Amino acid sequence: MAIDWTLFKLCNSLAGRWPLLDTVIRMLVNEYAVTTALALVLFALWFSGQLPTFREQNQRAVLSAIASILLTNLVIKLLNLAFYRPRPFANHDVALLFYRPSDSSFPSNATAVGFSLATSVWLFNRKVGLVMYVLASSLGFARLCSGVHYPSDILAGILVGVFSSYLIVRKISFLDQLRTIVIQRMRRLLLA
Amino acid sequence: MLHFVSKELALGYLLFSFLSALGVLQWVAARYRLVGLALLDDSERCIRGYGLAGLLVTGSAVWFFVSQWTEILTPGPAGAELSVLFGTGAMCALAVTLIMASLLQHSRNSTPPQDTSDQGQTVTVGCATGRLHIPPSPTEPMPAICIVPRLGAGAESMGTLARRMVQEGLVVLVVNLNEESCAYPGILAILPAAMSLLSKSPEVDPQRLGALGHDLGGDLVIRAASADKQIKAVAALAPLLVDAPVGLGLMQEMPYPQALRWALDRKRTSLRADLNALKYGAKIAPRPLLLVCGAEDRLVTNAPIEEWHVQHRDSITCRTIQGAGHFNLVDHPTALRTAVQWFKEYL
Repeated sequence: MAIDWTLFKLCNSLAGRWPLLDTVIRMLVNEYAVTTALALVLFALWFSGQLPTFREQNQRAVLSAIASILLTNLVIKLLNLAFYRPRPFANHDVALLFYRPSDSSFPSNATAVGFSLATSVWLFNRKVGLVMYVLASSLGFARLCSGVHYPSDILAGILVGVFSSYLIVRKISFLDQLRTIVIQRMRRLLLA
Repeated sequence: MLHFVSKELALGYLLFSFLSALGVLQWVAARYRLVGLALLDDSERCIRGYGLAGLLVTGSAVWFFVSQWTEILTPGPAGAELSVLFGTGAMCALAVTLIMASLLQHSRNSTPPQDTSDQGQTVTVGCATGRLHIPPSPTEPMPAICIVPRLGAGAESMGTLARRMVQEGLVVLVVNLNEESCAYPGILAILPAAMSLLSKSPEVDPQRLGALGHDLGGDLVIRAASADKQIKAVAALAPLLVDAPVGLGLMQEMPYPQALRWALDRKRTSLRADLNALKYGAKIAPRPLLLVCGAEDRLVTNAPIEEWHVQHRDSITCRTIQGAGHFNLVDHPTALRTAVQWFKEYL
């Protein structure tokens, strides 16, 4: 845990020094900017692809991402029921750039959702997946710098997100049939 | 139950989601040339489409984050509420885009430039009607072409091609398909009737008759030529041959309501199956057959055409026209030049 606290202090030391950097961190840490950007990437991905085969791969990625979010949120809910960890600002003097969330610090919900979306897409489309990883990483880093999470919370969030997506895409085979059915239905409406 | 915390913030986020999703759809429309999603007429260049997309996404983001800056750094709606707001905004953006793109496309196409210089002479071709175009002051019998447009499109849809052929010294008969003449097997009588009419015309050399069709008209001329030896050369522009894949790709060719009607058109599907041009086309050889397709055509499946071409390389000529789609193929300068030169060579 000592390394966790050392890393937290290192990242949190960036907060409150330069107003411009604080603004950038606040821009990234809120629930509206990065999450909306990730959602817009998914929305664009659904319609993207020059050939029907590429488009279908992208649509499978979008449907997997939606299923992954549900699983990620379920895992986090269960972890929160079993384990409560206070936020860094509860027990320490930290530079806080965000409001004081009251839920458990462990694991980082926002990071888990970001990495869950990015991994689902990355397993189908490497280029777009990489862009989403950058966005998800910036969200995790901003939450660390702003003083609302410990590094271990972020790491756990990443693991939950990646693992949930991997399960959804690679291990639960009946979901593949479900994705096919949804895409076929949407194709009849000319929306896939 | 959903709890949005702040009404102003929730409505602001809904509007932000709507506008940014609208922008994303414009980016997609410009990137993949989806006319069914495009709010701007960007047939040649995509710069305006990308510009509108950037403006909507950036503008809405700047407006939302500047106007709600203090609100977004305080406790607000949770993930479930934000998902509902974003989903609603995105779905509204999609619906508005589909409706607006369709209305704008309709208004753009409602006043096409009309060339009334040569409307041709109206004639009866079996159960259908047609327009006969004869080059001015012919000195000797000329080759003649019977043109069959796609179903639902009148003879005027082939007007550019007909005028071009007449300028090149070809007699042209454009068949005007109507509801009754489109039924199978009655539709098979149209080409023999047209050939009979043309061969009796004093301006026409009965040994130099050809047929050209677009879309399902292409399937019809292939099927008719397989049995009618009077037809010496056949050209099919974007023949359907097999059922086209239904999906988002149709919006590269036409707006959403039109694409939906096209996808649900059972009459076209059954007539294509009845004509079975892919099977009967093999009987045209050794007479020459020209197949022309647009590189951007999303209604024609290329695989059977390529397979057909490989099997009958001696008699079939295949041409792919860059930058042409399914419907604009008949007005594309390269397609017109290809068809006219090919008929002049083989007739």
